[in-house]
Amino acid sequence: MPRTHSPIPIRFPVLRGNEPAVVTLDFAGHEDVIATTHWQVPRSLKRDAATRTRAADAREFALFAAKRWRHYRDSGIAARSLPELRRMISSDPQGEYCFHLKLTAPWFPHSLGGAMVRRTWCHHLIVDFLFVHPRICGKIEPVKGTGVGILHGICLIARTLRCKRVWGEATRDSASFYERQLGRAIEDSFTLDVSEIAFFADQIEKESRRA
Amino acid sequence: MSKNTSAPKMTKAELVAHLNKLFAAEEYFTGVLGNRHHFTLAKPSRRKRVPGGRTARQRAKTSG
Repeated sequence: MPRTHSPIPIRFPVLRGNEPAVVTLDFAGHEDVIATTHWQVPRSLKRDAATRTRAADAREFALFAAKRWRHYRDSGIAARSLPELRRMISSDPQGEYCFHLKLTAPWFPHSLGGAMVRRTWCHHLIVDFLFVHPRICGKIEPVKGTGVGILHGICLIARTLRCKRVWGEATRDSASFYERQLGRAIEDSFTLDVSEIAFFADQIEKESRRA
Repeated sequence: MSKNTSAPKMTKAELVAHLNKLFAAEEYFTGVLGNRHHFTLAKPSRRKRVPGGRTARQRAKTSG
């Protein structure tokens, strides 16, 4: 792999209420992934169907991601760090590998969110799942910037590995997020090319200097 | 898209305004990205737990 410097973990600011607060994005290990399976939908959301659904979705996606993690880990193709991912790619450039990311902060007892990403045989990254803690998407914790931050972090990894593309599926619920983020119409898939990857990677690096 | 990576000094109020602008797309973020209907996925398996009891797997291990 061309670059030897590891930009991950990376610290950057998000908004906690109306205050900037620093979070750290890093590769997740087995314990981190399993910890997300213990997330609960807050009881206080019982009467608010919309936010309860969001929180339940986040919990469900974390469970899906953990299930995938077990499969990839048992197959020996789950990377727990960027150097490990690079080693795997070096040993078999056309192999398919998986990694999970976690977003943590000293002021939040659990991880704030995570993502499951795959590196394909042709050296692209696929965002399979991205989710934030049910208390955050349930609006109990007023934290803003976790979803965007994780997506930018994935671009940072893509740029470091010199991946030409980051792509994923846009659902009816997520298409408007990608449209807003990318500034163009999105149907049921999204693709970030090299210039967009570089732009978002630069952005998170720039923000990390403020952390 | 510019390639400027410098981070000018900001006051706290400026930083909050900047982050609000940067995270504008977050207003449209439902908390998850991905598709639960992905064809390789099944529902997460959940073992039925009996309060104070053992799971079927634990019983199988110790029986016979």
